Amino acid sequence: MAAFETLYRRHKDPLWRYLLRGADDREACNEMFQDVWSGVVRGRGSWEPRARFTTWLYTLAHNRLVDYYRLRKLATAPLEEADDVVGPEHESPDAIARNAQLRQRLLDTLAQLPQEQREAFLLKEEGGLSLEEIGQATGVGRETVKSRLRYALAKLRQELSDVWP
Amino acid sequence: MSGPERKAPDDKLLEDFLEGRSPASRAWREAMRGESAPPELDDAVLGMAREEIKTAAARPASRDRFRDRRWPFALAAVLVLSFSTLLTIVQDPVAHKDAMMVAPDVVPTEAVILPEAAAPVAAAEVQAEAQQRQAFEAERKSMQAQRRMEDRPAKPSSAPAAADAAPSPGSYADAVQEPAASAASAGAEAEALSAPAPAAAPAVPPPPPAPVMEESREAAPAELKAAPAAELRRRVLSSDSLGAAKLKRESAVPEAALAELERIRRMLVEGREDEARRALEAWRKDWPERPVPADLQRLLD
Repeated sequence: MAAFETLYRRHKDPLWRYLLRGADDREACNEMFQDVWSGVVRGRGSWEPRARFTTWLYTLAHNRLVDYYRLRKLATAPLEEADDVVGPEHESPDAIARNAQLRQRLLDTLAQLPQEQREAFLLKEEGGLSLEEIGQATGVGRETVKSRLRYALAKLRQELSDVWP
Repeated sequence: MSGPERKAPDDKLLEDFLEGRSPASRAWREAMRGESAPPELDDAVLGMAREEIKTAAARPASRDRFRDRRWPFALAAVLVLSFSTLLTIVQDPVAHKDAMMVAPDVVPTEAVILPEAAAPVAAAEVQAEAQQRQAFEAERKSMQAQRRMEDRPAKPSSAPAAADAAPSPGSYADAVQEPAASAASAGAEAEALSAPAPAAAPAVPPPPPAPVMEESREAAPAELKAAPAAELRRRVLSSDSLGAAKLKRESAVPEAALAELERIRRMLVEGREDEARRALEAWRKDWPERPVPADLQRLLD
C-alpha cells in the first residue's frame, strides 16, 4: 500500500491535469481520474516491470479519455478546421494579471487544438513521456507523434506570438 | 488530420520543446503551477486502493495458484496426449498405417461386366483367358532376348511398328498408318498423321471381328455373339484393377509376340484378312509353344 501511495503522490497532479485538459470537464475529469487509478490497482498483476509505469498509467488514461470521447461523440476536428482560432480578446494592461491572462490564453489555444495534438502535447508536458512512449500510449508511430507535436507547437506559437518571439 | 501539403513547421521548435527549452513549455509550467487534484479525490482513490488490496488478500488465490502451476499442467497435458496417441498408433493397425503413411492395400474392384455381355459368356472363359496369359508369362524371359535379335532384322516393315506398339495413341497412329504410307504418297502420309486420333488410335485392343472402326454401337451385340470372349475380355480389362493387372501381365509376356498379335488384330480391323492370316501363321511358327488367342483362332479355322 505504501508503494502505491508513493506512486499516487508522484503522478496524481499531472494525470489529473492531463485528464482535465483532455476532457475540459471537471466532473468527468474527476470520474476518469478515479477510474484510472482503480484500473491501476486492479491491473497491478498485469503490469510488467520492463514497461515504464508512467507509460502504462497514461495508456490507461488515454484509453479512458477515448471512451469518454466516444460517449460524448466528440468529433476529433482536423487541423484545417481548427485554423481559425479566435484571438485573445481579454487583454488587460494590468501587469499583475498578465500571468493569469497568459495562462488563460494558453488554455484557450490548447482547447482549440485537435484532440490528438492536444493529447500529444499534454502527454509530453504533464506525463513527461518521450516520443516513443507517447506513441505507445496512444497507439501510433513515432513520426505521427512528431507531426502532431509540430502542428500543436506551431499553433501555440502563432496564438502566443506576442509572448513567444 | 495533417495534410502533407501543409508547410512543415520548424523542427527547431520541436527539438526545443522536447528538451523542455520551449517558451511553450515554460509558459505551460508557469500556468499550471499550483493546480492539483482536489484532496477529496485523494481520499477516494487511496480508500479504494486500500479496500481493493484488503479484498484481494482475503480472497482465495485460486486463479493465482493456477497461474503459478500452468506450465506443469501444460507439460502434463502434452505428455498424456502424446502417450495416448502413441498407444493408439501401436495398437490400432489402421492408425499405424495412417501414421506411417503406408499405402493402403490394393483391393481389386469388381469386374465391370455389361449386361449384354454377361449373359452369353461364362466366367470360365474369363478364367481360361487369364490362364492363357499366365502361360505367356512363364516363357517370357527366356524368349524375349532371343526374339528381339531374330525379329528386328527379319521383319523390316513390321518390326518397328511392333517395337513402337506402346500404348501411346500417337505411336498407335503411326503404326496403323505405316503400311498404308508405304504404298501411298508422302502427302497422304501427312494427312493420315494429322487425322483425328479416335479413328486411328484406339486406346484398347479393338474387338477382333469388327470390319470397320466407325461401326455403330447398335451392331455391337451381334459382334459380341461372334466373339463374346474377346469382347468380355476387353470390357473386363477396362475396369481399374484388372486393367492394372493386365498391364502387369503384358509386361511379362514377350513384347514382340504381343506386338505382333496387336499388328495382326489391326490388320483385321483394316479388313486385310489374308495378310492377317499369313502373319498369324508366321507368328505360330515363331512361337509354336504359344496358344493362339481366341479372338484370332478363327483365322486358322
